[in-house]
Amino acid sequence: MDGDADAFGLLFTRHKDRLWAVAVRTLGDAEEAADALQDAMISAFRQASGFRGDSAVTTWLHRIVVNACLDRLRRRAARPAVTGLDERVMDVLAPVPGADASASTETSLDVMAALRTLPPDQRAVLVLVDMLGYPVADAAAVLGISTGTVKSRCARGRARLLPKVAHLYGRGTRAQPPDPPRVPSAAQGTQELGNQAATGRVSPAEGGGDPGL
Amino acid sequence: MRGHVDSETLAAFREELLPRRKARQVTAHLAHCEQCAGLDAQLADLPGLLARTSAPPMPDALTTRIQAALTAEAAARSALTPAGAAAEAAGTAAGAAGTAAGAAGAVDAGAAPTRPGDAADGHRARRAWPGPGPGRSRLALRIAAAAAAIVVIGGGGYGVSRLVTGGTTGQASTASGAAAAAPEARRPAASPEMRPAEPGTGSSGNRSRANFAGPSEPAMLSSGTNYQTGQLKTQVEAALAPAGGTEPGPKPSPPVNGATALTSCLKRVAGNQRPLLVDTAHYNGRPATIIVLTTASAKTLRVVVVGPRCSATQTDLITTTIIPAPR
Repeated sequence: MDGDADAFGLLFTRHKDRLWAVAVRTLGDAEEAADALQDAMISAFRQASGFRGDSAVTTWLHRIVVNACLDRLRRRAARPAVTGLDERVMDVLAPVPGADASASTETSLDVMAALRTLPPDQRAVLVLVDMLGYPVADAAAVLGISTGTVKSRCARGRARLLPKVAHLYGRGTRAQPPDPPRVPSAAQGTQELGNQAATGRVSPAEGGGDPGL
Repeated sequence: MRGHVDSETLAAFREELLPRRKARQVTAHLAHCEQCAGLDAQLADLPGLLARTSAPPMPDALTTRIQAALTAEAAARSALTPAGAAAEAAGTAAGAAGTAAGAAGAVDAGAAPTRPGDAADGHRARRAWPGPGPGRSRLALRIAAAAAAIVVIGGGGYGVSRLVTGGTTGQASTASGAAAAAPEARRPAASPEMRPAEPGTGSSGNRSRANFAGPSEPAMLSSGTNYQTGQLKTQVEAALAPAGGTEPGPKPSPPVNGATALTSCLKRVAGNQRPLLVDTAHYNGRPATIIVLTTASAKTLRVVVVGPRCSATQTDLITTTIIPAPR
C-alpha cells in the first residue's frame, strides 16, 4: 500500500502542473480548480490499485480531472449567476511566468469570461485543444469521444465564442493574431495595449458589452 | 452559393467537417466575399487568442494540500476497519495538512462529522487551503502599471463592523473560517460550520449576504499607505482593523480627487457589491487604489489593486489576490 502511495505521489508530482492548467482554465476559478484537482486525485488514487506507470496513465489522469471539472461546471450551471465582480474570472488573472506571448491581463479576463458562457462540453475541448494545445486525438482520448466529435465541438465552441471575443483582437501584447489574408498588415507592430482600433475589426463592446463585468 | 456563410459553418469548414460539395461552395464564396473572408480570418485567429490566455501556475500550497490528502487516503486504505480507522486517519490527515499548509486543518477535522468510508479523504484537509502565495503577487508585479490603485472588495455582505468586531453571531463560519487561509497565524475557533456553503448552493442564507448589513458606505480611505507585495494581507488587515486596535489603522478621510472616476471604477470592479475597504494609496510605491471585497467564501477576502486609470471602461488592474478574512 505504501508503495502504491509513493508511486501515485510521484505520478501526481509529475503531472500536477498540466492537470492544474486544465482545471484552472476549465473552471475559470483557482479555488474551485484546487478543489476539483484534489477530488480528482483522491478519486484517481482510489482507482489506481492496478496502476503501473504506462503511457495511458496520463490520459486517464486527465480524464478524471476533466470530469471533476465538468461535474462542477454542470452543478454551477444549476445555480443562479453571481452578480457583481466576477471574482471567479479574476482568479485566473495572474500572468504565466515567462510567457511573454501571453495576452494582457485584461484580455485574458475577457476571454475567460466569454469562455464561461459556453456549454461545458464545448469549453472542455477548447481548453484542451486551443488553449493548451493538446492534439485532437489526445483530447478525444481524454474525453472518451471520437476525434470527429472533438472537432465538431471545437467548431461550435469557436463559432459561439467568436462574437464575444472579436473585439479583443486589436488588444493585447506583442503577439498579435495574424491579419486576415486580404488586409494589408500595415497596422502590425504599431498597436498599443488596449488599442482595439488597429485591426479594423472593432466591436463597440468596450465599456458596455464586456461579458462578465 | 446564396447568402453569406455563418460562423458555425465556417468553423466546421475549417475543421474539414463539411461534406465535400458544401466545402467547395464555401471555398468559392470566400474567394469573392470579403465579409465572410474576414469572419474566416477571425475564426483562424481564435485558437491563438485562446492559447495566449494566461492563468496562474499551480500554487505550492495546493501541492502540499493534495499530497497530505493522498497520505491520509493511503492511511485510511491500509486500516482494517473502515469506520474506526477512517476516523483516525481523518485526524491524521487534517493534522498533516494543518501543519504543512495552514492552521485550520486540525480544527476542521475535529469539527467534522466522521462518515464511515468517506472520512479520510481530501474533503477535510482541503479547508487548509492557504490561498495564493507570494508567488502570485510577484507575478502580478510584471503587469504593474505606472501607477496603481488598491481596492479590497468584500464578497458578500459582511459589513465592516462585523468584520472588525469579529462578531460571529449567526455567521460562525465567517470568524472561524478566517484562519483557514493563514498558514502561520490565527487558530480559528472550532465551529461546526467550518465548511462554508458552496456559493449559490441554494440556501437563502448564503444569498442573503448580498444584503449589506453593516454601515451603508464602505470605508473610504486615503491612508497614504504604501501597500506592498508580500505584505498586502497584513496591511489590509491593519486597514480593516478597528480604530484603537493594536495596529493603528489609517484615519478615514474622503478620497481627495477623482471621486467620480473612482465611483465608476468601483462599479466596474465590484458591481453591486459594496467594498469593505477602498483605500486610495500606493502599491509598491506607485499610486494605487486598494479595494477589498468579500468572496463567495466567508473565509476569504479579495483584494483588488487598480491603477489610477481605473474607470467605468477599464480596470487598470495591477493585481488581485485572496487573503484570509480577519476574525
